[in-house]
Amino acid sequence: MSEGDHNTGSEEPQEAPGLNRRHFLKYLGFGAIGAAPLPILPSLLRKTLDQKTVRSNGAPALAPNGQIRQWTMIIDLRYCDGCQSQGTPPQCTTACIEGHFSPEPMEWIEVYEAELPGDGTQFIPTPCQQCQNPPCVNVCPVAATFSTPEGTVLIDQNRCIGCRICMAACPYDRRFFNWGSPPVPPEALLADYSAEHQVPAKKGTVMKCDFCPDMARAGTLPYCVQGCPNDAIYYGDLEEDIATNGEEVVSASRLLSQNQAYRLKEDLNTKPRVYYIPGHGEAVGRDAFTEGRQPTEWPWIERAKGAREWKR
Amino acid sequence: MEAVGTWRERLEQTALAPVVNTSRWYYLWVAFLLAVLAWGLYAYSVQLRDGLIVTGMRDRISWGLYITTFVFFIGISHAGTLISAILRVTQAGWRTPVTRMAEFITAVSLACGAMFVIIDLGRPDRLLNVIIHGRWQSPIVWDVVAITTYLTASLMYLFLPMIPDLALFRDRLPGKVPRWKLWIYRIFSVGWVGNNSQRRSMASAIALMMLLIIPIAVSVHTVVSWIFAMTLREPWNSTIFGAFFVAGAIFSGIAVLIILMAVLRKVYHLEEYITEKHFKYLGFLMTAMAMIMIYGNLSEFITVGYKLEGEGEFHFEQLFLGQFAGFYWYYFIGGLIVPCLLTLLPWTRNIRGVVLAAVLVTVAMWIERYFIVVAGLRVPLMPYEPASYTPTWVEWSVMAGGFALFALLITIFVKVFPILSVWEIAEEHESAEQSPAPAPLVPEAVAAPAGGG
Amino acid sequence: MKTISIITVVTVMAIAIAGLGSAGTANAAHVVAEITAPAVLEVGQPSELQVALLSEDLALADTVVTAYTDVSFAGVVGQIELGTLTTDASGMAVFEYEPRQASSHEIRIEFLAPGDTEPTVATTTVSVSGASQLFQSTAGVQIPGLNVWLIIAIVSSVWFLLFTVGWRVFAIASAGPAVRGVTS
Ligand code: SF4
Ligand code: SF4
Ligand code: SF4
Repeated sequence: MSEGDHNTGSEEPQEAPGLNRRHFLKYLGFGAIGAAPLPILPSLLRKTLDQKTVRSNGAPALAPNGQIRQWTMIIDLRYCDGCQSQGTPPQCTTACIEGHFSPEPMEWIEVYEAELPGDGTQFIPTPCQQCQNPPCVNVCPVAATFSTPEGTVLIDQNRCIGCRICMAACPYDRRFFNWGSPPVPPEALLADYSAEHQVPAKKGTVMKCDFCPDMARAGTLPYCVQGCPNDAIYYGDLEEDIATNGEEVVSASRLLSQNQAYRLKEDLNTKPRVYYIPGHGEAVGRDAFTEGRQPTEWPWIERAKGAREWKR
Repeated sequence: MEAVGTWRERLEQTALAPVVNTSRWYYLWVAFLLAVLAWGLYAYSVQLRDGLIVTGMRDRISWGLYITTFVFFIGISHAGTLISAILRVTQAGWRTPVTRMAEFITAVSLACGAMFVIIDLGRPDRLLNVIIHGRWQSPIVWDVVAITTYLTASLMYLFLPMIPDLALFRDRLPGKVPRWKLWIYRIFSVGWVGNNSQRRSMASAIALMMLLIIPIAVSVHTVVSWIFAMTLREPWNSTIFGAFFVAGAIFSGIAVLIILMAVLRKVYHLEEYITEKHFKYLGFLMTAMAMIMIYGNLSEFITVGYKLEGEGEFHFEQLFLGQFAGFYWYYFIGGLIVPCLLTLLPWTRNIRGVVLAAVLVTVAMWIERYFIVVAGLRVPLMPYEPASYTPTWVEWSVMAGGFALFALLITIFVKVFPILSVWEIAEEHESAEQSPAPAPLVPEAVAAPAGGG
Repeated sequence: MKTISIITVVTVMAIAIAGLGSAGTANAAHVVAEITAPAVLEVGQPSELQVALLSEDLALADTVVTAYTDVSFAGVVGQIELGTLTTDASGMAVFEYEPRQASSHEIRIEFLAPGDTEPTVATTTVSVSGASQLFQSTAGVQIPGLNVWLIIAIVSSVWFLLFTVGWRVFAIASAGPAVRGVTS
C-alpha cells in the first residue's frame, strides 16, 4: 500500500503522468472528435433539416442599371405637426398599422413628443432607424434579425426564438414583442408571411418597422410616407442619391446638407439610415407650444376575436 | 494505527448514513418541494399556453424575474469552483469536508440557471435554432457555449474525486440500499480498487480539471454579464461588469454554500467534520469578496456619478432615492456591510453569525441581480414615461418552482451520493496526524478506501 | 481626358410680358447659354458641367444659374437640383456633377437674364454609363486574426482538455479488475 505512493500527489498539476507522446496523440484524436462538432454540427443540422438561409423575399432591389438600392428615410420635422391640424392620430402610424396589421400596441413608427429648449415641443416620428452598425443584429443569437444588402434590418419571425436580447440592445426602443397571441383581424391570417412584410404577426417573436422594401421594389412608397398628409417623410435611395415624399423628388444629399439634417443619438455610432431635418411643424403652421397629439388607434381591434390585448 | 482505524470507521459511517437511513422528515420535505415544483410547472404550463403575456414583462421592461434568477443561479454555481478548485490549487487542507457540497451546488445551480433562460424564451419550441443557426457573434451563444462547457467540466469535477467514495459505497452498501442505487455505484465507480495506476490517473485528471475549471468559471460569469454589457443601455454600458459579476458570483456562491453546510451539518450530524472553523474560514472568504463588491460599487458609481452623463442622472435617482432605493440600500448595507461586520466582530464570529450573514448575502445578491436587470431596462431611451414592472403570480410561481427544483436536486443528490469526500478527508486527517505542520505537498499514505472493504 | 464639346446654343426669346408696359426696357436681350459637358460620363465620376452665358457676344457676369436634371423615383417624376451658382467675370459657371444613374439625362439650366422677369431655360442631354456600387456603408474595425475562428480555437482547446480528462476515466476503468466493475 505504500509503494508508489510518492507519485500519487493529487496536488501536483505539473505531474501529468501518461502525457507522453503516444498518449498525447491519442488525446489529440479524442480532442479532435470532441471539437469537430463545434463548427460542423450546425451546418449538418441545417442541411438535414433543410432550413433555408435566405429569409427575405427575393433578390435585393436594384436601380435601373443594376446597383443595389440603399434605402433611406428623411423626415422633415418642419412639416410634422403630429397631425394636430388633421385632428387625427398621426397618420403615418395609422397607415403603417393598417398596412401591416401590426398588433396593438405596436407603433412601428411612433410619433414621440419631445421637449424643446424653452418648453415647446416637437414631434418626432420614429421608425426603426435601420442602423448600419445595428446593435440588435449584433446580439441576435440565431440571425433572426439581420442586415440586408439594401442596408435595412429585417426580422425573420419564423426563426426568432424570442430571447429579446435585441430589445435590450436597441437604443431607440424600436422593437416590439408579441407577448401573447397577437390581436389581428382574420384577414391578416391569410397573408403570405415574409420578413419584408411581417403579416401575420407570430406569438412569441419580435417585430419592428421593416422599411417596406417590398413596396419600394414594386415602385410605390411605404405606407407611412403615403399616409403623411403633410408630406413630411421622404423615402429614398442613397445609391441613386434621390428621395421623394410622394410629391416632389429631391437629391437626398442636397436635402440633408442644406437643412442641417441629423440622426438620432449620432454619438452611439449606430449609423442610422433615418435622417431628421430639425423643426417643430412650423412649415405647416404649428405653434411650438401647442402640445399633445391624438392617441394611436388600432381600427380592427373588435374584429380580432378572442385575442388578449396588452399595453406597452 | 488503531486510532486511525476507528476514526476512519466513524467517518465512513457518517458518510454512509444519509444514504442508508431516511427519516420521515425527509419524505415530508421532498413532498413539500414536489408540491412547490408542481405548482411552478402548472404556472409554466399557463405561460406556455398563453405566451409571455401572463408575465409582468412588456416591451420596455422586457426581462424580469426569470433573467434575474438565471443570473443568480449561474452566480451561485461559482461556489464549487472557488471552494474546490481554488482551495485545491492553494492546497488549503481545511477544504476537504466541504468540497463535495460545493460541487453539488455548482452542478445543480448551473442546470437550474440554464433552465431559466429557456423559461424566459418567447419560443422555447425553437430552442434548437441556437445550435442550428447559432452565431458566434452573439453574447447568448457565448453563454450557451460557456455554460455547456462549465456544466460538463463541473460534472466531471464532481465525478472524479467521487470515484473512490462511490467505490466505498459499492463495497459497503450491498443489502442495505435498493438495487438501483447499487447499480449506480457499480457503474460510476468504474471499477475503482485504488491501485497505483488508477490513483495516478485520477490524480492527474483532478490536477488538470482544477486548473481548467477556474478560467472556465471566470469566463462563464463574464459572458453572463456581457449579455447586459454588450448593449448600449446606460447602466449596463460598463467595462467593470464582467469583473463585478464574477466577484458577485463567488460572493453569493460562498453564501449559499455556508447555508447548505449549516443545513446538512444539522440534518446529517456532520459536526465532527464541519466545524466552526469551516464557517469562520468561509466567512472570511465571503467578507473578502464583500469588500471587493463594496469596492466595485464605489468604483462604478463614483466614476459614473461624478459626471452623470446621459441617462446616468435618471438611473441614480431611481436607484438611490426612487423606486429601487429600498432594494439598493438593503443590498449595500444589509448585504455587504452588515455581513462584513458579522464575520469580523468577535462576538458574532460564530456559526450563527456567519450563517445569518450568508442568508443576508444570498437575499441581497438576488436583489442585486433584480435591480441590475429591471432598473437597467427602466431607464427610458426615448421621450416616453418610464415603464413599470410588477411580476405576476406566474413569474413568482415559476421562480418558486425553480428554487424548489434546486433544493430537490440537492436533496436527492445527498440521498444517493456521498456528501463527504471520504478519501480526501482521510488523507488530510492522516497527513495532519503525521506532521502537525501545514499539509505537505505530497501527502503520504493516501488511503485507498475501497481497499478496506 | 478627351472631351468633345457639345455646345448647345439656345436663343432665347425672353419677351417679358410684364416688360411691355414699361417702355424702353423691354429689349429682348439675346442671351446665349453654352453648356459644355464631357461626352462620356461615368456613374460616380465627378465631372464638370460648364455653363457660359453670353449676351450679345459679351460675357454675362453675376447672373445666378441653377442646373437641374430630370428624374423619376417610386412613380414620382420630377427634377433635382444640381446646384446654384453665380457666373464669374467671363460669364462662366462650373457645376460639379456626379451622375448616380446610367442612362441619358437631360440637364436643364435656368437663369434670370438681366432685365427679364421670366427665367431663361437651356437644356442638354448627357449620356452616362457604368454601374458601380457607389454607396458603401461599413461598420466595424477589422483586426487581423481576431475573428470567429479565434473563439472556435479557444473553445476547441478547452474541450480537447476536457476530453483528455475524460480519457483518464477510461484509464481508471481499464486499470481496475475488469470483472469486478460488472459483476460484484
Ligand atoms: S428575440 Fe428574436 S430577433 Fe431578437 S435577438 Fe432573440 S432571436 Fe433574435
Ligand atoms: S433602430 Fe433599433 S431595431 Fe432598428 S436597426 Fe437600429 S438597433 Fe435595430
Ligand atoms: S417604412 Fe413601412 S414598416 Fe416602417 S414605419 Fe413606414 S410603413 Fe411602417
